[in-house]
Amino acid sequence: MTFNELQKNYWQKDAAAAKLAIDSDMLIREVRRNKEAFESSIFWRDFREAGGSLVIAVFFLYQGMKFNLWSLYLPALAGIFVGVFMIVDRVIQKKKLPKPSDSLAGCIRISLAQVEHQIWLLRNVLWWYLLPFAIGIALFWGHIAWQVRNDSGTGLMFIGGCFVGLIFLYTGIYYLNQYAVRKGLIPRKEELEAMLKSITNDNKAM
Amino acid sequence: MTADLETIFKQWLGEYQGLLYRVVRAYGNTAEDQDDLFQEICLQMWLSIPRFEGKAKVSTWIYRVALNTAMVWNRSEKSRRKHRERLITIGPQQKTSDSRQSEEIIGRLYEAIRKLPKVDTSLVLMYLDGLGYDEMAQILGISENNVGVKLNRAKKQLARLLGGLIDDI
Repeated sequence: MTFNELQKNYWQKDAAAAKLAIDSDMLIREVRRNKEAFESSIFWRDFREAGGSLVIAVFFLYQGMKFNLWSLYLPALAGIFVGVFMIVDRVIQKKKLPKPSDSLAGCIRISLAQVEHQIWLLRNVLWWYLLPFAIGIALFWGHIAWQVRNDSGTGLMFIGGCFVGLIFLYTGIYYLNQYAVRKGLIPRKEELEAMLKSITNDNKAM
Repeated sequence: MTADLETIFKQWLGEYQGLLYRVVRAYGNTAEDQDDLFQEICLQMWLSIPRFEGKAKVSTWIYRVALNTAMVWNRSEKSRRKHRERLITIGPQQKTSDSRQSEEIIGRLYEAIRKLPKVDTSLVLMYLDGLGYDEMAQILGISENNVGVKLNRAKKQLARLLGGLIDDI
């Protein structure tokens, strides 16, 4: 059989003859539900990531005003920086989403750029997320430690314990992010790169 | 606008359900995968309607939405399906093409298509659906010459996967 025969006698005949059973009302309900679920998951993800930092900022600002302690404003500043960074990043990335009018190659390129950006964010999580908070909190604890330096050693030991706990927590968060990059994002990036390569190379040898 | 959106969606779905079915069958390995992908394509189609300006043919637009979705669709991502029953089915009583041989060949063809690289799958699908090189080039975002080269290669690979069914390569 030739490809033309396969196309005309089987594929196109089958395509013309096949009558599909689709409950369009149920499908529309599902599409609406999916759309709402999709938008809600995006909203809550943004809220979790950016809102969480801003909530921390508000908390430390309030505590700073309540106890009139300048060092409490430092973690608040870190929270504001991280929250604003995330919001700006989300706004920029939203503008780069693929459009239905994009070609397949264009769509893959945009998806690849998004994955690469996600990898960049997670690989640099130390600089834009962990370190600002760590510096803010460390300076606050340092300030408290300085104030209680002449008291019994219990306060200093407590702060030291908190500091060690913070280092463990942040190390855990950092490695969790790197694991997500290795396990999820790098294979996805490689898959998209392979697709892009196969769609854009000219294969002049053929 | 909501009513219009729904009307257009139903109209597109009615006219191009076969195209959508062929795309999900070519990209989804299991019935569950196919249903997940079908829902994802429907969602993207729904979202794309307000952006459709009529500059391209509707079929080209839908092909583009369907293939763009299928190409970057990630099976491992959380399933959107809530219904256990399939949303898209092709019942035996609804098939007019009742030849067992034809069914077997179509089954083998889909099986072979699913083994192709994703880009080749899209090319073969468009070729079998009778799209011209210009339309394929527009959808893929590559030159017509490149379409020809890639399609030729994809057909050769498909013929190998079909194990002797095709003899003009």
